[in-house]
Amino acid sequence: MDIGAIWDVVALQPMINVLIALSDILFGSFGLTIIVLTIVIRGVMYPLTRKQLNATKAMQTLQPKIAELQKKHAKDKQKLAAEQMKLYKESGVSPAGCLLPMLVQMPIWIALYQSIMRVLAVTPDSFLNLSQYLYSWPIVYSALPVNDNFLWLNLADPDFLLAILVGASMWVQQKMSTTASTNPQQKAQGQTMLIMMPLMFIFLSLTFPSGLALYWVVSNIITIVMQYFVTGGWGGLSFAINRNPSRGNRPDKRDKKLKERVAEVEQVKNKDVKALQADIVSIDTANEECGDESGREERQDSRGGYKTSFDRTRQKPRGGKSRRSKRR
Amino acid sequence: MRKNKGILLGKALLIAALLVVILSSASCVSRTGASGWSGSTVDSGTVYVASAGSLAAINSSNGVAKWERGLPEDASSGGASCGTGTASSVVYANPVVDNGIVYLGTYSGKIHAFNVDNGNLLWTYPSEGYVQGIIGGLLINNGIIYFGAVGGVVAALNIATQEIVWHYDTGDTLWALPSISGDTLYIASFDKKLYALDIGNGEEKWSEPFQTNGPIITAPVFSNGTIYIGSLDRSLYAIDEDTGEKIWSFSTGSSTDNPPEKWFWATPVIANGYIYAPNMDGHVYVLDVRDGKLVTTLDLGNSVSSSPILLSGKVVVATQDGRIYSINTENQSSILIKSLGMTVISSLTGSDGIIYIHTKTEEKIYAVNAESGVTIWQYEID
Repeated sequence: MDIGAIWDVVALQPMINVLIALSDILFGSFGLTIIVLTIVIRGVMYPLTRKQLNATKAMQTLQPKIAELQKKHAKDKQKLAAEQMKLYKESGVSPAGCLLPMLVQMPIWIALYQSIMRVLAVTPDSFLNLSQYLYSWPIVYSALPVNDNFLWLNLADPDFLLAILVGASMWVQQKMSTTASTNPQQKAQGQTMLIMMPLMFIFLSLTFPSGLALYWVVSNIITIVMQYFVTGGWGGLSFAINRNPSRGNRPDKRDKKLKERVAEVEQVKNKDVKALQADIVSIDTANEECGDESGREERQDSRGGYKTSFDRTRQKPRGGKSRRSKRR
Repeated sequence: MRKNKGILLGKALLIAALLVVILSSASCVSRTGASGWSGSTVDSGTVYVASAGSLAAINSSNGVAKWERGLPEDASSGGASCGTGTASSVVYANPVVDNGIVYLGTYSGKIHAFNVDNGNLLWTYPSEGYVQGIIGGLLINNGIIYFGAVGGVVAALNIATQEIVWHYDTGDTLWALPSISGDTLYIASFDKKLYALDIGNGEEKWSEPFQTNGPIITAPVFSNGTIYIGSLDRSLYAIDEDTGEKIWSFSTGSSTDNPPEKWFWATPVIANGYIYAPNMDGHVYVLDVRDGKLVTTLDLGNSVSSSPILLSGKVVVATQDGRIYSINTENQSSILIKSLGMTVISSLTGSDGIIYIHTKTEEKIYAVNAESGVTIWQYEID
């Protein structure tokens, strides 16, 4: 048995039959089947995806240190490699951690989209070819051919709008996982890939049946959602939005709030100092008039009373800062 | 710096190109494109056979080409798109000869008429634009071409005027070749139904079409007022011609040790009161036409999608891997007469003790003696 036959038996056949049977259960809608099976498979593989995303995030956090090392050992590649490995070891980050889960998932993705192509069977030849993959389940025989109409799509034909969605979702997903590299070479390479990959997938989507493009869109959206929750935000995308020239240098909401808070604190502080000074003057005048020591205690009390107010002005920024630190 | 940028761009392009190749090899290329599986037709000592892009007329006795013509360039409906397949000049249907003209329906949705003597193109329908793709083929009866188009329309085309006389929309994909019995045209559809239409006006004759549990892509065959047809639901049905009522069915549920496991893709053959129905599970099921009782099962060891023929009292069947079997209709014994070692999907044709087999591999047509299995000639279509 050659490797192709093994692949067919182990990966393609089960996937194809599940797709067909599921389409029968899901009201005969193959579009819905693609969406559901993609979600299920991505859900099953979530632990691996999370591992990969966490590893990617850990790698990203090390980027400044790596950049430092690159700068420091620019002329000694061996030393640089050794230092990088040391850094990875010390930080508990494995560069293979990003790649390995992806490699494990890759065959399943390939099997899924090869199965989609085969089940869609857009030509008589491919429909005839499909017969060799079918199990003897009665549901499989009654469900064929699958209904390739879904929303505005004919899943057997390419669709322009879906191709654009593939490109857009891929760009977002890629942008989220990029980091601001200090290395100009890496930066340029990242920028090129960021544009090239979505463009290439748009081209492929316009070439292949839209059933496959639907799978890509759903898969990209799932990755975006997972990335958002696992890495805790929009990653490189939020960085891109903040630096977007069309938005100018508009500060984000958090910065604005911080500035408002600082201004408020300054205002309260100035007000309290003025009030304090006025009180000191009036108390001193009274003490001078009474001539006893109780006035000092009273002043202390008064200061104690002001202490609260004054300390608040001193504590507020600290409190704010501490909350921010916590959020971070 | 500029050099660095160039290198980086090159690297990115290389990665992108690599990805395209991987994706393509994993789906587009490995997925069989539309390449056609036209069979052949024998008429007056000439074998007519179509391949992707051409039609050939070959002398049946010596295998010498009388003429070979390229099919008119079709602007494909699918273009070069991998997804939809290239429909340009792809032919699934057998050529049909009638009254000195050879007709051919193409996957791109054209009907071409050629002069049998010199292969000159006489006319094309429609002259501009396309009807939907034709897979099952053309049926000619009294100056009318009947055909089913991929989009679900059954149409009757007047040869003299080249105008559509009537059409009937089944609403689903149509791959089957129509058949006529009396004044009724029977055609099966992907919608799992068999339709009975009046050949004069295309009106339905049964109260409702006959329903199966799977798509049907074969043509029905007839015997004594009964229609026999196989379905992709792994069943073979016997239906009353007049009423469209089921008489019997043979399927996976039938009480037999060896029920059909795959599609009935090929059109069955009836001989001596038995129906010979090849299945893609590699068996030929021999049933009594009266009650559908299984007489015997012949194991051919490989999938059968090519429609068999009845030649000199024997049923000739070809497996997909190119083995040709002859089944004795007296005792239902089978013998291997030839092993071509090439893929055979198109229907067989026979005449005067010679079987004509159009192989998918290498686009060759073989003339094989039905008794001895000796190859008389072979012809490679350009």
